[in-house]
Amino acid sequence: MSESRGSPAPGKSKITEGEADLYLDQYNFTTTAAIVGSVDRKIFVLLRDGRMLFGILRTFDQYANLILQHCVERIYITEENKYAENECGVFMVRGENVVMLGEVDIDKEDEPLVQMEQIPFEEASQMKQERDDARYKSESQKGRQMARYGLIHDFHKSDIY
Amino acid sequence: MLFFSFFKTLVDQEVTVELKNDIELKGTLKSVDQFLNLKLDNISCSNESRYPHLSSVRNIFIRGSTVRYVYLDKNMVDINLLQDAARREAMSAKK
Repeated sequence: MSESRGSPAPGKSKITEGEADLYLDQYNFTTTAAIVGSVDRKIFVLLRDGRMLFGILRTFDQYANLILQHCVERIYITEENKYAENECGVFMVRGENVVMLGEVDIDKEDEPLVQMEQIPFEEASQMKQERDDARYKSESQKGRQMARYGLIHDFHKSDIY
Repeated sequence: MLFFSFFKTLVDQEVTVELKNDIELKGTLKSVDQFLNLKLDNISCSNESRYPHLSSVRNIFIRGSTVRYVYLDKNMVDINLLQDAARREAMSAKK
């Protein structure tokens, strides 16, 4: 290992396929290195469908597949200064659905919620559904208009975060 | 691998990331991987009204596929070095 990492031998500038694989294997674990510090801490996860989950990160892998314990889904209706929560236990999240995740400071976490009114989850999820439908409508309209000028508007129904 | 190497030179510098949902996050770039997933520290958000809890978030992991732009400061980029690297990559691809 240590020899192959040193300065290349004269006339051998390119690394061999075997060596390249070795390097690639190491790269696979940089995703891991990025979130390893958040294990056993409370995190939030934003999913591609717009859902927001809060929970304790128990484990993960290089694809950012996650396992969350004591998971709570939260919906913000910021226009009306309301929010709703739904407890859903243990969640396994497939990595491709993750938009972003971050560690939450549990001391400051509730600060914005104090000024907000909690409403039943069903009510909030219905409001969110309406908001998403409106967004889908306006985005697909935008897409059609841009297509008229030969432009691509990158929007998918599943990406409503 | 050029962009991956390029982003690695930006580690520990302050960048602003715009996501495809129009949210802008500013923070110190802590790590990047081959999918251009980014990890930011000490984040601040341009419009915190949409995600009120972001004020209590210290570090954030962003999946590369959801990033639209990364804003960089002009003097963070060594253009000559970047051009050189781009040429070298193109050369090695041709061989």
